[in-house]
Amino acid sequence: MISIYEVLETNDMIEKENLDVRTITLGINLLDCIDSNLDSLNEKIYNRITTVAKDLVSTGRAIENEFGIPVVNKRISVTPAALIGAAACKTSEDFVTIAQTLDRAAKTTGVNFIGGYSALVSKGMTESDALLIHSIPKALATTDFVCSSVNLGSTKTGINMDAVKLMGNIVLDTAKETADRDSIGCAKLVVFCNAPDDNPFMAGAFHGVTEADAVINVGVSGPGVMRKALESVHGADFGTLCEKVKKTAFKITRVGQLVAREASKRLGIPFGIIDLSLAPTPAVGDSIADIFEEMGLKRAGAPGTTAALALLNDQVKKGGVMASSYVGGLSGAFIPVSEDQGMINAVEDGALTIEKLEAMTCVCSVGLDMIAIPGDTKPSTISGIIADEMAIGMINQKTTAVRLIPVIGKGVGETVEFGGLLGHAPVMPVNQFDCSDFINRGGRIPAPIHSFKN
Amino acid sequence: MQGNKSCYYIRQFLSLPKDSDFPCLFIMKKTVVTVVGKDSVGIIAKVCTYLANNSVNILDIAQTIVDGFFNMMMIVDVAGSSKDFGTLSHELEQIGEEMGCIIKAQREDIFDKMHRI
Repeated sequence: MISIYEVLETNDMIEKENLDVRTITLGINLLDCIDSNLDSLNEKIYNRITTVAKDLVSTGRAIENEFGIPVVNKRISVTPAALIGAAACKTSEDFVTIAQTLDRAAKTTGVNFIGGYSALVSKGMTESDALLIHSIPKALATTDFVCSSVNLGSTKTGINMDAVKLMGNIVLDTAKETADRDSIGCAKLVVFCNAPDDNPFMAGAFHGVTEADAVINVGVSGPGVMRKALESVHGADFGTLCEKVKKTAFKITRVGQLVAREASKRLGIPFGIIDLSLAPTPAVGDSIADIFEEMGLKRAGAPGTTAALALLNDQVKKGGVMASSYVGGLSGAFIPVSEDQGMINAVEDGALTIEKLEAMTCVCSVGLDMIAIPGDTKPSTISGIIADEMAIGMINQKTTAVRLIPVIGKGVGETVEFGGLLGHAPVMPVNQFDCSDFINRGGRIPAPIHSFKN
Repeated sequence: MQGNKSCYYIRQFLSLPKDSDFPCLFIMKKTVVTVVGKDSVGIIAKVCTYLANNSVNILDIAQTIVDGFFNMMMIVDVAGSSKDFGTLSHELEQIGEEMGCIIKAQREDIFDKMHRI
């Protein structure tokens, strides 16, 4: 029988340490909606999503009430739109109508984001992929809930540098299209290397073609719980520290596993994976940077931060894998700047730079996430930053991502406010030395030698 | 559908109407009720009376004082109650508010899964 202390511990995690299930993401296959007529394609997409996901939000709420654990977001991911729209869309404008259909379906079902306005161009770009990528700025400016992602490289294929070059311009155009709203369009656009098919987290979620018709993926949270747990091993050696992280990750993941199984049972949709990412929020105490401080670093970004992140991520995985039968998605601690109060403080104090963030992404985390940069940054510089991050992913056989926000009209030292889960961010300086000759070469960076394993 | 899947099959097997609560009487649905707040006279009495009136069976009670706050945990079986889980939980919450404490009802699984391998 459960003891009162165990019950109190769980409830303290929920009430005082922000333990929650960050997202239940329902992946929906749209491949059989494909039609050469644009209107009927849009109608089929809308009907499919609103039928499959009609009970998603209410089921999420029922689980919240019965188990007493907040399920913060209910979201949908769909098959990459570049594949779905290929037969019907002859122009970028045609693709924008698909984005608007997705947005409408999101609003009808009551979810707060829909992902899958995506193209997978890690080796080459089809005409349809190119049209979709060119439509991204307009699509994100005219919709509220649509999230877009582009996979630019992988360990197996190398990096598509033509696409990297193009995305530098697209990111900047997206910022310009939403310049009146602090360039928020870019917060819904992410580029990947080694993008996973089953990621439940936005902005990068899409329902990969290797997936079933519908699947439930769940993302857990818990930086606040982790920090609190580490308080009890203050000053102890690394063995003790790692053991504590592992045990805490186990507890957090078990809750995610329970919610995922329950949602899957109630919706009659198979369970896919649990994403073991520690996802911070702007709420005080729900911060990855606070965990570093608890470990003994004055600020995130101080020497030792990369090592701290490496051990944190590895132990979270070790505890999490024990707790869930299927793990996947991104599964790495997130270090978004704007969504984490401790990271914001570190940037404002001058402890954390883009270069240090890049180093941190080598050992674990998913990438350069939610970083505001000056609006006058050159497209080639953005492409250069993307190329660096893609290279880290390609060589280390891991997922990496870039979500930069060039804030039009703002410069270093100013702050942008996105609101809600997206938080606020100080505009960070980027290296001013030119890289355009490198980016303009075009073509493809070949796959690394260790990808040839056959 | 009232109750869980087992209730559904029992209903089908006995050809009972869809809304029959009868099968639920035999299926245990363990729920943890926690009461946290300032200690005062009659907290347990009030909660127990409510549970009894709603045919909720109490399986276990534990109580402790943490940092001067009254903490009580009850493991109860709600399968026999005619009210659905949402109503029970909401009404318990209201009783808590009247007494100046927080009452939560949660399915036992969340604690079980978190603390047991």
